Amino acid sequence: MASEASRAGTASGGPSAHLELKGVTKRFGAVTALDDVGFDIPLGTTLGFVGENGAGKSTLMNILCGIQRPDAGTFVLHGEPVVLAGPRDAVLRGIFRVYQEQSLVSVYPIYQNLLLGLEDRFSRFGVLDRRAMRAIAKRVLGDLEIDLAPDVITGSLNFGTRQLVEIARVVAQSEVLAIRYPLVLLDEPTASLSGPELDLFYRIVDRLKTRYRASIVFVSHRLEEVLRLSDRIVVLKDGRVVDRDVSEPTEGKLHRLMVGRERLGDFYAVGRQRTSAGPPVLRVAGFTSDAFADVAFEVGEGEVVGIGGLVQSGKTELGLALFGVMEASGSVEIAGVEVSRASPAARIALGAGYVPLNRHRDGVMLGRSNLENIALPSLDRFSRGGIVSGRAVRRMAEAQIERLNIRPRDPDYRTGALSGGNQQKVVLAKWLAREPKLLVVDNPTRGVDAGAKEEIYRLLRELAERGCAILVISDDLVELIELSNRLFFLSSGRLSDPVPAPAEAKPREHDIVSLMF
Amino acid sequence: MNRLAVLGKLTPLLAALALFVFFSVMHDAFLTWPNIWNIVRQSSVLLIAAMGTTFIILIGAIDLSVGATMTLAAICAITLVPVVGEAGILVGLLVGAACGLFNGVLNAVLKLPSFLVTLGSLFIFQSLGLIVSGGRPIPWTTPISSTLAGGVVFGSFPKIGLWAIGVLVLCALFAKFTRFGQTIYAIGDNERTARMSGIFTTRLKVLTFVLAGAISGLAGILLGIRTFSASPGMGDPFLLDTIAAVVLGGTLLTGGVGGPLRTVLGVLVIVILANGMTLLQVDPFFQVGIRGAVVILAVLITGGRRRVDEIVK
Repeated sequence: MASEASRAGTASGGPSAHLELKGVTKRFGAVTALDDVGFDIPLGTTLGFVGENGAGKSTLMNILCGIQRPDAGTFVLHGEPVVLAGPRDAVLRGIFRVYQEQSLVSVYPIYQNLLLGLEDRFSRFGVLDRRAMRAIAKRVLGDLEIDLAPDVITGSLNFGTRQLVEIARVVAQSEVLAIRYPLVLLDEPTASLSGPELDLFYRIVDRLKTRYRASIVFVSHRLEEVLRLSDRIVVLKDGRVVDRDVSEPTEGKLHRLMVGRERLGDFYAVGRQRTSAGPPVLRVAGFTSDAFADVAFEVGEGEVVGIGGLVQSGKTELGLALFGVMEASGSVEIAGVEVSRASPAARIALGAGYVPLNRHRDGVMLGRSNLENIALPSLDRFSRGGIVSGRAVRRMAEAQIERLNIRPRDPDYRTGALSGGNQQKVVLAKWLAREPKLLVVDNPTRGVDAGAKEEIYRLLRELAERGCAILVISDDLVELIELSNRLFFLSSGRLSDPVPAPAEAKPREHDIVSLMF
Repeated sequence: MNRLAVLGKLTPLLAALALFVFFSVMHDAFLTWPNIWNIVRQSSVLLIAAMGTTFIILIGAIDLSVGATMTLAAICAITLVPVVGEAGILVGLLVGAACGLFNGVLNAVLKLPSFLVTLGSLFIFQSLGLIVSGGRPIPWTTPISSTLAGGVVFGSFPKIGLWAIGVLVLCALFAKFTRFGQTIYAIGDNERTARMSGIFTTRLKVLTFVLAGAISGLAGILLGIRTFSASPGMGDPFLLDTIAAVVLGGTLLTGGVGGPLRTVLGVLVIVILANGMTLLQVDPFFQVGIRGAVVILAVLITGGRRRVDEIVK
């Protein structure tokens, strides 16, 4: 094992390509996820990967880190062909993946997570040498200027900080394994970072390159970020590389390559923003919980109101509390009815709907069909005397699948097997089927590709045009500004004054970002 | 759907058929009408009891008190007959429902794990059964109900089999076509999502336990009629057999997948296996072990757990 590790580190002569992939193909049953994919990563560069959901980015990452094996193709690491035996083999060869879904053991202190999987190097007769582990952890955190004590229990950290621990793990492990040139796979690492956390993240990535000689593979849906961080951008579409080095990349150009058509000039359909709002559908006053205090605002008919803030600002909790899933005191009126003590079911009956941040936990039944998922909140409307009318439900589900362009267009398809964007559309379909009067959406386009994003923005506009009041909670500042009529920011649980965002005079990002702190 | 998944779904059916053919070839007495009626008689009570367990497992819970509920319901029913007449038997259903209500409230309202709740109630119900019966078997002599559920019909078909078929049909229709049935699957798949889609999950979980309790009560009464007595411990063997039957049929312990029509197959596998092994005079010391091996084998094939990253606890 040790010899493998040192081999990766002693690739002499500094070969120009860190990793080279040729003809990589991967099939799952009848589906070809990757088709003859080839590219190379020059040593010490950042390679950005973009593509729609289902373009093959996740499969590619899985192959790069040894979780999946390609059906065909070669893998040349530091000029030497290799076959990765598994994720551990990849790590020993200096390939580290920073996961989108975090892979930390929450009950461990930070130092144990930094060295997770390498305990054998720190133990004698099965007893861990915690002092040595702490020392390494302390040094690595110091080098990266991450202000954390190694003994802190990982589960007590917030999401953004845990992401930093994940990255620090790469440095700690490559030191222990004596890897000279680590290859770091960053898979949607910034999906939940904002503000200062994001800046710290950029700084750390930069340090990985300059100080630790790392090459980086970067996958993200945030195109502006890919443009900012990458030295070279590869575009994947339908499992094929359509461009292995985009020249003079711009967001528009990347979008065209990914989707196969021009990005609409008006991506957020701002032209369809309503200029006046009707009477209030949602009215909140003195709303207080563990996460926020004394929140008050209104959302009118046909109005889109945005709520921004840092990850721990309490904005997600606000959405959950508005829907009755989380404890809070104060007054909430939906369509003129006081609901602060009411169940989610009662709020739904008044016309409310909620698209959650955590889709898999709160939004869909992964094991059931699209039809069952879409029908779930509407079973009352399709049953008489407790008997569900299967035919009416099917007609309704088919209509929604058609309307939202959910693919595959099969009401009996298992929702868990859909791509993220299509799953999100299923969640929207659940509520659209009820013609909601109030829709609360938390990060409606998280993990959703550009094409589906456009569709979701148009759906939200369409709902607003029909008089639905929409509350958008989002980490994506641009999305928030462009969608909303007015926006608020939550900062340490307090709501800011409203910022008007009329279609003809949208506030600029850097003018309002200070409201988040 | 890929071929493996189809095979997995068909496993219980194929297993039942294979056992049927195997024993038919191995022993002349197996494929005879008297023995087939025997199998019907042996599977009826188990099938009914397993219907209740199916719904409990579908919502992702477990009920360890099935057997104790059956016993308590039967003892209460037969004890009341001399006092209020034969209609007292219906009290057995209420007792079963009350047992379910107790489990359901502790699990769904007070949010205690169903495993622990029903482990505790198993002992409590056993104790109540001993207290009511005085610890002695009570002879079951009720002319009207015995006519309804005992003996045979259409020449030689055991009447109790008709009860089992009736309960099965009702449960299958209930699971597939009612709003309640649909929400049982929703709760089993993802309770949070169900609640956030406007389902009254707490209420429905309690009701599921009540329904399962009432079904257990019915199973207890029919067992009393079939064995002509109600005695402490009469329901005990049904606890493990019902769970085995539900799991054999392919209903997942994690909830949300499976249903009554699958459980029938599990029941048939268990009963045919026991019946056939007895005919072949397999050493009883071996019989129980073989049954266990079949359960594990069937789950192994049915599950189709091939994903490396799946974690099983």
